[in-house]
Amino acid sequence: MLARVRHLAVSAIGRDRPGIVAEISGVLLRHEANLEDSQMTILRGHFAMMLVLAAPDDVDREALAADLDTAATALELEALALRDLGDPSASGPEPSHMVTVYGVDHPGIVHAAATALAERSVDITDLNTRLLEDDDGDPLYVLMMEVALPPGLTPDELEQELGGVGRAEGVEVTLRELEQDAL
Amino acid sequence: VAVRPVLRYPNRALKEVCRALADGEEPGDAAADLLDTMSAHPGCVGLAAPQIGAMVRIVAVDVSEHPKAESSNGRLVLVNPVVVREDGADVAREGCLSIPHLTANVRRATTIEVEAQGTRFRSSGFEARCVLHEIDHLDGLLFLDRVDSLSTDVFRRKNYR
Repeated sequence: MLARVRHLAVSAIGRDRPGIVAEISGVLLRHEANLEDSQMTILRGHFAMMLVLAAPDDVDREALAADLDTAATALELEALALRDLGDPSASGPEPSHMVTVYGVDHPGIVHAAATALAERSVDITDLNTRLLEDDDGDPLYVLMMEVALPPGLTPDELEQELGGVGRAEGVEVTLRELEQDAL
Repeated sequence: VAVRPVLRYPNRALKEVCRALADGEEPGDAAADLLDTMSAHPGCVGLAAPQIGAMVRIVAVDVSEHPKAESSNGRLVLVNPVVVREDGADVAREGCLSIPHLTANVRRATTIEVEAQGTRFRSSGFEARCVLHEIDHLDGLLFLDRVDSLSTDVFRRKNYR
C-alpha cells in the first residue's frame, strides 16, 4: 500500500554559492521528503529555487521548517519559505504559444506586453528576459514568454493585440505555436 | 567593387518585406554588391539584399569554403527565391552580421527545394540552413524571431569572425 503523502512547496533566494542545493536537499532527505518538481537558476549571481516536494503524511512539519531555517541561515540565504501546496495535481494551464518580443532597450516593454496579455486573460506560464549589450550599438532587449490562451481567444486575435504593443513600443513581436513534436 | 555597409538591427530595413523583382527587371548593382560585401566579411556564408539596404528579393549564399558544409551548390545568387519543399528538422547555431553580438540555436528544415529566377535546385544541411536564413531576411525575419528559448538558445558572442 502506498503511504499517504502531503505536498509542500519550498522557495528560497540568496547570493549564489556552492552547496545550496546539497544542503537543502539533505534536509529534505532526512525528513523523507521526496523532491518532485523543481526549478532553480542564477541571475547575475543571485540564486533562486522553487521546489515541490512530497513528504510523508505524518512528517514533522515544524521540525522540517526549523531544519530548513537552520540551513538557510548557514547558507546566508535572504529568504526561505515553506508552504503547504493546496492541490498538487493542479498543474496550471498548458502553454500553447510562445511570444517573442525584442527591440532597443527602454523602460516599459515587459509591462506593455504583460498588460496586453492580462487584458485578454492570457496566462504567462514561463518568462525570461535578457539585456544584451552591444559594444558599439544600442542594447538589445529580448523577452520570451510561454503563454496559455483562454477559451475563446484565437491566436489571430492575440497576434493583433500584440501587434499594437509592438507598434506602440517600437519593438518586434512574434507569436508562434509551441512545437509539439511527438518523437 | 562596391562593398556596402551591413545594416544592423534596429535598422527598419531589416524588418520589412522586400519586393519581388518583376519579370525581366535587372537586379542592378544589388546582386554584385551583395557578393562584394559578402567577400569583404571573412567567414560570411550568406547575405540578403535588405542587409545592405536594397529592398528587393535577392540573396547570396556560398558555403563551398565552409567546414560545416558537407554539400554545396557553389556560389548562389538567387532572385525571387521561393522554398517549394521542406523536409526534416534540425536545431543548430546561427549568427548574423545584422545582430553581430548574438548567436542562437534555430530549428530549420534539413533538406529543401528552392525555385528562383532561372533556377530550381535542392539543398541540404548547412547550405539549406543558410538559404532559409537569408530568405527569412526578405520577409523581415531575423533569427531571434525563430528562437525557442531565451535561456537555453541565445548566446552572446564577443567577436563576429
